[in-house]
Amino acid sequence: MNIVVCIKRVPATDSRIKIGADGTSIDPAQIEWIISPYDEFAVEAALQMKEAAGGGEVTILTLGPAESTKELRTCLAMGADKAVLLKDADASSRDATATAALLAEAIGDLNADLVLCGKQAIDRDQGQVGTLLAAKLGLPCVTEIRKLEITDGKANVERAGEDGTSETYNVALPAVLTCTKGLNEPRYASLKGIMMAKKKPIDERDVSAADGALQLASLELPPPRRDGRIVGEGVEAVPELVRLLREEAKVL
Amino acid sequence: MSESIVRDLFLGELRDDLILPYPFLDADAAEMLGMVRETVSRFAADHIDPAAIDQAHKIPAEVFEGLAEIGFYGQRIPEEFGGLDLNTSQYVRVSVELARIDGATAIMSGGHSTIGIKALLLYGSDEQKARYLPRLATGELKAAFALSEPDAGSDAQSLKCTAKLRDDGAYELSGEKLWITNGGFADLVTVFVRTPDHPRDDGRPSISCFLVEKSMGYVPGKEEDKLGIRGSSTVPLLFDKVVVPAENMVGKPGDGFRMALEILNSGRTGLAGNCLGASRFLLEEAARYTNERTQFGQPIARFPLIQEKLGRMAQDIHALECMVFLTTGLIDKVGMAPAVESALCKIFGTEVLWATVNDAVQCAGGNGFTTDYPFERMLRDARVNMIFEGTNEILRVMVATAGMAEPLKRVGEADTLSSEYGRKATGREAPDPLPVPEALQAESLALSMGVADLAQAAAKLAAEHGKAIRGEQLACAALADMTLATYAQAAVLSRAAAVVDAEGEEAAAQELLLAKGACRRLARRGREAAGRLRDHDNELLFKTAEAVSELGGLPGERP
Ligand SMILES: Cc1cc2nc3c(=O)[nH]c(=O)nc-3n(C[C@H](O)[C@H](O)[C@H](O)COP(=O)(O)OP(=O)(O)OC[C@H]3O[C@@H](n4cnc5c(N)ncnc54)[C@H](O)[C@@H]3O)c2cc1C
Repeated sequence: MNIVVCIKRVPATDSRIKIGADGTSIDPAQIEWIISPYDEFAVEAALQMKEAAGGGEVTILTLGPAESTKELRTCLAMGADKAVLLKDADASSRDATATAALLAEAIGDLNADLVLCGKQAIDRDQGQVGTLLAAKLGLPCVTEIRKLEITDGKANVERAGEDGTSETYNVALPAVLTCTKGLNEPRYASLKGIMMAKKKPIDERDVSAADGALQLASLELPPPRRDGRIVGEGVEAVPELVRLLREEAKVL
Repeated sequence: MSESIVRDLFLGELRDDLILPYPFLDADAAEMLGMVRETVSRFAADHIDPAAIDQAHKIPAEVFEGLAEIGFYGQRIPEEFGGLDLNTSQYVRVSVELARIDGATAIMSGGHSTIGIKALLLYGSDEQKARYLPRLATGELKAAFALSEPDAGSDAQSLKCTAKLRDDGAYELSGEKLWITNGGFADLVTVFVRTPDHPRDDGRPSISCFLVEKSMGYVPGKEEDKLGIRGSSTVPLLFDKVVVPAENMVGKPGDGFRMALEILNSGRTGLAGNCLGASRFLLEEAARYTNERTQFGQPIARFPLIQEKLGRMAQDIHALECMVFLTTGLIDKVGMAPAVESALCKIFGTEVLWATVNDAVQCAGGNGFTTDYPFERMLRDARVNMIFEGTNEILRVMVATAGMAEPLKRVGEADTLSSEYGRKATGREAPDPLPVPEALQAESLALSMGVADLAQAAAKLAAEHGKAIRGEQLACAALADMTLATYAQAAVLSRAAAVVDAEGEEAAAQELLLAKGACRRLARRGREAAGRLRDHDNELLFKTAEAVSELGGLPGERP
């Protein structure tokens, strides 16, 4: 089985974000970049399927700046076979439609039986690329899967439904699945895997796309958090706390 | 000594061909290291709890297993035996990462990779390597290194453990080893013992090296109850007529002591890397703590006496990093005999860490003294580094003795101004300053002056004491400190030059700031050491010490 996993390079969750000079992007200085965590579930799922089947190929695909080779190498070190980098200096300003179109075009050549994505990238949190990608490819799509099994050429997947229900689907392959927490525990790249990743191929292609329909107009940091306040001590403080939570913080 | 920066420092020369360019990792290796760092820090975040390890006096089994899974035990083992074949530059950088997290685990790892498997790697036969290395690479076998004994610590050559040759060709080992890291669980121990059946031609004690499997029957004793790195295993090993087959001797009979020294010499950059990792972590914790803690209405990080600590920690740690990676780069690139430079890294690393942890505890005030914060544990963990793998006293004497070899040979030449060495030795001439960015010209000149001082001091002491200089330990220590200061300055300047070359002065502003501060601090340290040679009260010290020894405490007590 050929599995393609789409990943994205994003700032680490504990990075201190600063807005860049253009007012619409994140200043890349001093930021640590990582694979978006939901994408790691997708990578791990692909590797597990390949190991269970005793064969097949796992290809990692990303649209991103040239530096994304680091994230691709990490996937190769985890055990993926090859990687494709769609080099796009403006990747971060592409809207989801343009991103999905570029990914779909690359997947066209890859002969995929299954395409896995994270349910959303943790930088923009829009959660659109997976579904748009499925639409572009004309493939069925299940989002936010937390269980995955392949039997007789079909994927059996489970996702959380309304009110704590579980939905199970049988999906004909090829298909696009987006992955969420609970699917698996992503492995660490072993030191040995890291050494071996050196020798695995990364196919770097320059891509370009017209500006999408969406343009990010501005990006702003959240207002600084206010200091905590001690309302009182012990049970006597509870009524006042509840009042403040309801009236000031408006969370109750 | 073959190619060596330090040998030439003693002659008043700055080997810019070795010092420049600074050996940064290339882009591929840097990317790989980034991934390794991520793996180690994620593994650690999930599995290594340094406070729990400290309290339980034990590294839990899942840490051993997890490290095996990520391939930690095979770092230095060739690929053909299932290892990663990391070179010294890479290995030490990985050590830095683990040591950031837990001192005990770092020592365990070093006990295996830095000293435990080294005899086999450096001197083992193909058959011995094939027999053990694959299982050592996976961590199925864990290694230890056993040289020290109750009566043989710094003076390791006086060891008494003995192997008797039996009629059937095997050896019978008897005696006691002490302080053996990993000894409680190791499966394969490199043991150094006397072999009187193979006397040496030069009459020195015949010491040989054996690989002894646990199953051969030595008995580990009780775990030491230690000040720090409490999670690591440190035990005596008792050998009571343990039978070891002849094919487990490593190298030539009688050659064991040289091998032991070379193993230790080649490994000290690893320990220096540990100290670097722990120091960097402490600086980050101190930075955070002093930002968050307010007194008198502001973060304590704004008070000059706290800034002094943060600043000097950063300068020292920067200098240490430059020195360690210059050294590992030279080891990998020119195969430089690393003994003296590595010893300097060990001395500097262990003392920078000690100063750093002391400052960090002070920055954290009362909290620094409690187990709610990592500082007190790290203070305890840091202390042993100045004691093992050669005490810092022994290493200072070793640096000075090695450095003095050439000046001693050239005593007659030292005051003939017609020779270049003569001009250096009399202080007439300083070495050409290293070519460095404009902004560091003054620091580069100061380094040249420091080297000139060292050469002059060395020549003077050589003339005064001859070979007996070895016994002049305070002078040796001063020479070693001057050497340390100049070598570290050279490393800092080398790195700054490379960074400015690559990025331009403007982008390198922070590098230049650190470099300037570190160099000035080091130059002052060098001058202070030189001052100790001229201006001291050693006689008073010695007399007082003699009185202390004789009276068993403070002399002249009055009620
Ligand atoms: C936690 C721990 C782990 C260890 N792990 C190992 C291991 O895995 N394998 C192993 O073989 N050993 C190991 N050691 C032993 C260690 O290498 C020795 O402790 C060290 O070499 C010092 O020896 P010693 O303790 O006998 O001290 P001593 O040699 O008695 O030294 C005591 C003091 O005297 C000073 N001194 C001694 N001789 C001189 C001299 N000529 N001039 C000036 N000063 C001198 C020393 O510097 C020191 O300050 C370990 C020790 C510890 C504490």
